[in-house]
Amino acid sequence: MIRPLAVTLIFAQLLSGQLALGGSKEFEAFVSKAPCIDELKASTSKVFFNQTWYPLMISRPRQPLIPGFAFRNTITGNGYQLFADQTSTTLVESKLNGDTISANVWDTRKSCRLHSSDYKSAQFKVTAPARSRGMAVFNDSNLNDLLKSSSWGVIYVWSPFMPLSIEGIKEIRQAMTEKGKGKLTILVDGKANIKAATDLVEKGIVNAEDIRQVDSPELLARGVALHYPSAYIYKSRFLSNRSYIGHKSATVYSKWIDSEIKALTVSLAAMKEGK
Amino acid sequence: MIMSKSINAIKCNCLRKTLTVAMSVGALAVAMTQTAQANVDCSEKAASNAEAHLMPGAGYWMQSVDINHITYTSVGGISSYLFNLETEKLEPITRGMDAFPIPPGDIYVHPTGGGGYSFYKMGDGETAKPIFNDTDHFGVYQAVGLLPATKGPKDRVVRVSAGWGAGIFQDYHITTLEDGTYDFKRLHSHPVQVCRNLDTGGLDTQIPVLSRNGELIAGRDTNDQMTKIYKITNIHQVDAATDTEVADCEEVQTIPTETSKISFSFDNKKVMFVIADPITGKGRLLEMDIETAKLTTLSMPSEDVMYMTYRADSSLRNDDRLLYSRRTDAVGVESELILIKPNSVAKDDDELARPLEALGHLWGRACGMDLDTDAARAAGSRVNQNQCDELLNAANFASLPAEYSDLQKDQIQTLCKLSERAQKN
Repeated sequence: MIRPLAVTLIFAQLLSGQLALGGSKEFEAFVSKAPCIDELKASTSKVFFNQTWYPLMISRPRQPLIPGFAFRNTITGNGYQLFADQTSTTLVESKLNGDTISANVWDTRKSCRLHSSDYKSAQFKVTAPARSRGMAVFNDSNLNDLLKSSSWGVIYVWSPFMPLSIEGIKEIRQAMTEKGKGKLTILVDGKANIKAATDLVEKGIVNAEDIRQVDSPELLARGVALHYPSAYIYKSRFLSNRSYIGHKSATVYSKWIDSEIKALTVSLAAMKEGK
Repeated sequence: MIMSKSINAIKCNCLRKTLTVAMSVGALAVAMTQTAQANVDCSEKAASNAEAHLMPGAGYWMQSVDINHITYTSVGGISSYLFNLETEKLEPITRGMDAFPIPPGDIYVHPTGGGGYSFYKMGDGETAKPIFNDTDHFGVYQAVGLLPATKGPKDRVVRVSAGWGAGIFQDYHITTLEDGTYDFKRLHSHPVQVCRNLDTGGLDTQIPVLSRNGELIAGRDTNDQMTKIYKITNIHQVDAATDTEVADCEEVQTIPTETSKISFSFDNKKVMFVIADPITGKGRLLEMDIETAKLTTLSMPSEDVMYMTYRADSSLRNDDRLLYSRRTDAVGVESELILIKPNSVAKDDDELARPLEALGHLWGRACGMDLDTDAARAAGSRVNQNQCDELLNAANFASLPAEYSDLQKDQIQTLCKLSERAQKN
């Protein structure tokens, strides 16, 4: 039961397009207190714990919401979550396959070893609204292609539910035009009212290619649906975990792009050096 | 078309229907197909005293005006609407975006196209002229707080914050005159720059929100992406020549994750917000006690919550009810407004937490759902007296999970009575 996970995790690390910014200190503090963490590390893979994780709030029995951490693989769409309470640590692996997410859960509650009795598996269907209506979508596979297609770029996600996110399209376009480099990808809320989105195309307010609907667990895991617009930077195949939300002017976007590119460059260099 | 339905009126709408319910069980998600028990309302809105309204184009932004009205910004353009919960009709209002009501709801403020803010009288209709323009206050994402210096509804000191640049606010002394007109006085020469003492050099530009009393301000930290709540302190001048003022901020609480915009309760003790379910990406509605950081899940497991606001009564106290919008179907053709009164008795009393969970589990089992603890609490807090009786009948009670086998039926029955009483009060 454990061996395939370890293999998967190592494989995931090799293919990873994930780069999380911040949260490392918090993660270390979390790990230092997590019960049975050494056993969990030994049972899975030390490599796994060299990944950078980003914070989440996760439900689990007895505690409505507790801090946890997650790691998602950009290429496969698979993800891992780690959370703990006073008595146990839980590792969740989730895999996206078509429209189904399978979740594998290892819980150390019964002992500090990962027995098969501590393992539960389940799956549920996730049907993307756009897919069900034959609309164009932007999924993790598209994301992976995008990350490979240019050295850096910005993903901007808007929603017809949020007027300022429509207004902001021209601001991000202007900022990117002024940069002269980098690829701008504009996407729409994965659960948006499709008619409202297409109406805006007909009115010439947004372009036809700007209404691909987000169907990417990678972007959802980064909280893309919490507010629109949400913007993300990627560089050298790495997608930042930090979303930039809310309406901004072209000038503010321009400063943000410079700052995020710089931060990504530093993080990538540190990663290369194995720090 | 506007539709409204009382939850009690749609009770049993799923009787003996085969339900397919996809839900999140903590980090684990399960799909199940089961048959509901007779006389148990399995709708996601299974809440006592809950109301559901289909509002045309309601989306992510709404504010409580008074007990019967909310403003919201519609889909697909820059248009504000005023929705009457009692008549279930739209009422005329100027169409600029994000109409933010100023308590007690007789006036409101829009960002002005091209910069500045304009104030309008509620009820003056779509073509109303502003009663006051402030061209020096700029930006978007405005929020309104009624400062403690307010003497009454006709003598108000109002703070209006905006989220452009690094965060600013302006204070206004608004007096209602004998003839029903309004006198506005700005209390600062220019907008005050807020939180300049923070390492980031100011309040983050992302989705700032002011508390109802104008003394707290919250926003998402650009660096760690967490939403932080600050107390505004020490407003002072930093440049006499330009009369530039700044305000310091003291961190009061951190919500340790990415959140949506938050909504402050009218007593300024709690906040509500939406987080993304780690696996499904669905919006989950949470409430946090600002002082204790205690979290409560308010939405049902299968709901996809978009936006939320507390509701005030006519005296600007908490009405104890809250409103949230959620997607009505997977394609978001319409969103639905839900009005609920969570069970405050059980939420604040740990002794009653387990009976509440047990009740939620009974509801879940009757409806073919295996809920996790927080989902069970949320469901339990929304079960009314009739539902409670049904769930506690012998056939249903036998399905109580083993970990609650120490609970007696009358312990849960007591909870239902307490809940019913609290909701009536």
